[in-house]
Amino acid sequence: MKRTVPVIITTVTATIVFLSIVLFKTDAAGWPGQFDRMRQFMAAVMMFMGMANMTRVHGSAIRKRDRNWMFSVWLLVIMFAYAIFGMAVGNKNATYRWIYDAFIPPINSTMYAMVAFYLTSASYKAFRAKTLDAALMMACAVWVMLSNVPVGDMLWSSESWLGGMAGVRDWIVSVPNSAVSRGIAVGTFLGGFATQLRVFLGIERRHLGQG
Amino acid sequence: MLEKLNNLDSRWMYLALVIVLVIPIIKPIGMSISVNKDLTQRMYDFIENLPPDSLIMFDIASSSSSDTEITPMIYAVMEHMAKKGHKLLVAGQWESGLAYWSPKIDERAKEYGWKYGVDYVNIGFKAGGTATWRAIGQDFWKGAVGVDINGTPFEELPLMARIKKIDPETIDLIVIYESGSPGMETWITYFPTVPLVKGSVAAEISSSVRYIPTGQLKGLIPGMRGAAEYEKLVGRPGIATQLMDAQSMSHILVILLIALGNVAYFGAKKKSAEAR
Repeated sequence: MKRTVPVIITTVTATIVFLSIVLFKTDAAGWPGQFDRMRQFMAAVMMFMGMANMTRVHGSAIRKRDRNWMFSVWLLVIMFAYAIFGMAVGNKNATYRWIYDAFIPPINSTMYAMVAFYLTSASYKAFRAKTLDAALMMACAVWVMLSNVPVGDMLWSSESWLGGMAGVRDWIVSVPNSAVSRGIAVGTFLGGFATQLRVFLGIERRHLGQG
Repeated sequence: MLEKLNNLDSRWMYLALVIVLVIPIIKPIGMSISVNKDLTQRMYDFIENLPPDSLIMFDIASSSSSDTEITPMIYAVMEHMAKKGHKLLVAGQWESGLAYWSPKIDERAKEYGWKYGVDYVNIGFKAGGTATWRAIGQDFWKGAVGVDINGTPFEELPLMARIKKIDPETIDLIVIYESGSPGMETWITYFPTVPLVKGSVAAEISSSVRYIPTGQLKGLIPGMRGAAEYEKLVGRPGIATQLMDAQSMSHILVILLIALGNVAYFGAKKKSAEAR
């Protein structure tokens, strides 16, 4: 029952949406639109489910005094304090907004900026022409890096033969890169479609805790 | 020596990177920038050729971590819009990004003398992902719950009177500033008839370029370099132009390190082969 009911709901819903869109060409105004609105509501409910799950997982880590359990305490304190404060004062409150703006953007930017340092040392240690494939990839990377900055134009101007460094870069990005990228995209889509079909038909049940 | 070079401490590289980034920022070199005709120029031309009073929608699909790349793009496009007299509708698929860039957009709008509600509106973040956007596309007011980012009803914002749905008759162009998912796929999949251009972080360029030849993207600003190109096109050099020298130097450093790493690797390999 616990697993059969969700499978029936999934199959019936998917069939209605699929038939509505593919056969009857109805969109947001019809049945798919009704499901969209239900999904909007469910997205809001999922936030609470997410909080409940976080509390369960990290609460258990605190009880068992797992490694780094203090971080779990921090996480729960901050999550609940900020959520309760937000609900009490409303999300237009200046202090509520300041707390977010003063922490998240700088932390985000710092994390992202640190990638540049790791990238620099990684390029020294990993970009080695050990094989022909590695050498080709390295050559492409060096070319794209140089042609993406003004110094590339200084070395081989975009006004000259073949459009300069930038012209060759554009060819690399638009032709071989696009071809491979499209191939990957089509493959990903087919894989996703096959998985969705398995869910629709009730064959795939792992998300319900059953293989 | 080769052994030492092969195991070079990463901290020396970090120090070198800081030096090559900081010096050009303090003392710019002023290298000239050419404009990418297939990407940046196309986007510029598309906006340039829109009739005055066109409605352009910004979709912020990025977080503040991409500030250095996205901010100059937003500013450059707003500069272009101000020159052409277009109207702006701001929305966002990423809540944190929209919260971060909204004050910056307000600040710039103030500089141009744009009146909120008349020349531009920010509808704020609407939860629910693609389902919400499909609903907004069908009935903008109902799908977007009828209020802007500050909770002001759409009835009080004159610009909203002309926005009833998302279609090519209503919205002349969508400009998405993207650094990940959800992003342009929302527009390509559900609103393929509305013209779309993209301001892309450098890491996303290779996966976006394939949409240019198909016409699904009408143009693209590729990373900070693209932002500098757009600044050049609109005739207002900004932070992206200033940072291009630093980026040039950092790329040269990385290339030198790659070369040095290979010299060390092959040198050590040769030495060990000789020893055997």
